[in-house]
Amino acid sequence: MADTGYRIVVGVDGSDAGVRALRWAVREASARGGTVHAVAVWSWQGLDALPASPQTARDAAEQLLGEAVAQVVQDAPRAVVVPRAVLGQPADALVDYARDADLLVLGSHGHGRLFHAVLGSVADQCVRTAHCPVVVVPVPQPAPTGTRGAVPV
Amino acid sequence: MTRNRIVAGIDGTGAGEQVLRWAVGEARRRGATLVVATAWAGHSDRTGPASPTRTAALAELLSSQRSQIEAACAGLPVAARPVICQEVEPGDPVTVLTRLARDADLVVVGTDRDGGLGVASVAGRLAGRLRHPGALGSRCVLVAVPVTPAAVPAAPPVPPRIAAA
Repeated sequence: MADTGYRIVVGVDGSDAGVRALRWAVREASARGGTVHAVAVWSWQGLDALPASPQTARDAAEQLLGEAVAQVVQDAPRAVVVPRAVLGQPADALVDYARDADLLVLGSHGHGRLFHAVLGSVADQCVRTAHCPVVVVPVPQPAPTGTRGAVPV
Repeated sequence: MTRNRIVAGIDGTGAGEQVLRWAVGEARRRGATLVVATAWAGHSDRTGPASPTRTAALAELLSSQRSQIEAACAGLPVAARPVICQEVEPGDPVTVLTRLARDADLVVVGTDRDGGLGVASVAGRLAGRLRHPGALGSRCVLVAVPVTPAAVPAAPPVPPRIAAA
């Protein structure tokens, strides 16, 4: 389908929630002709923290983006997906990147390899501050096994 | 696949019109049925046998929905409007919308970007429901549409961002 200028930004964090969000976004964009910007937000805390360098942090973000995109475009080979690793705090960076987008898509929560908080709080902050409609894609939770709730990585 | 439904949750504030504008545009694009839903909370007489006060309250809610729908569809020829159903259900908004969302592809609510008022908390709590397995249908997603505060009813509605595409 021809590009309609419709622009969907989706937050990808290396979690299953991010992949689900990306899959939803790609299906939408395929159906109406549009572009998906898959965004992984990275940051670097300094020398005392992991990852060891800004470059490592950025590389990790790009790698998980590449993996997520590869996983999803298998089912939608003609989709236009632009991967972007963006420096910043997750919610702020996503809202800022999606400033002129038609939709910002997020998983309902996640425990990504990059995020230290569950995406629940990121989604919540995005919902409260975004300039465009925010789509929250549900993630079925496995039944709890003893421990209560999700433990941040 | 039988579902092609969008549920839009509105209350009596001007925010509802802005939510409906987005939802109407989206329903047109998808060829979907739009279900306009309002929760009927805080009415002591909302269950049990019909009574004149309850009938009057219901009629008022339906009429408020209708005028918001008309405002959201302003300028659209009748033939271009999506199929729109009205629902007024007893209960709190999150419970009502969670129930209706089971048969929907999208459930749309407004959020007040300046924070904290009722609409935003509905979106937040609905998003929280998404974390429970099976609370919403596996395909239904939540769409939180930013709305400007409804304090000034005379203000022109925010044009739907999506319509330009």
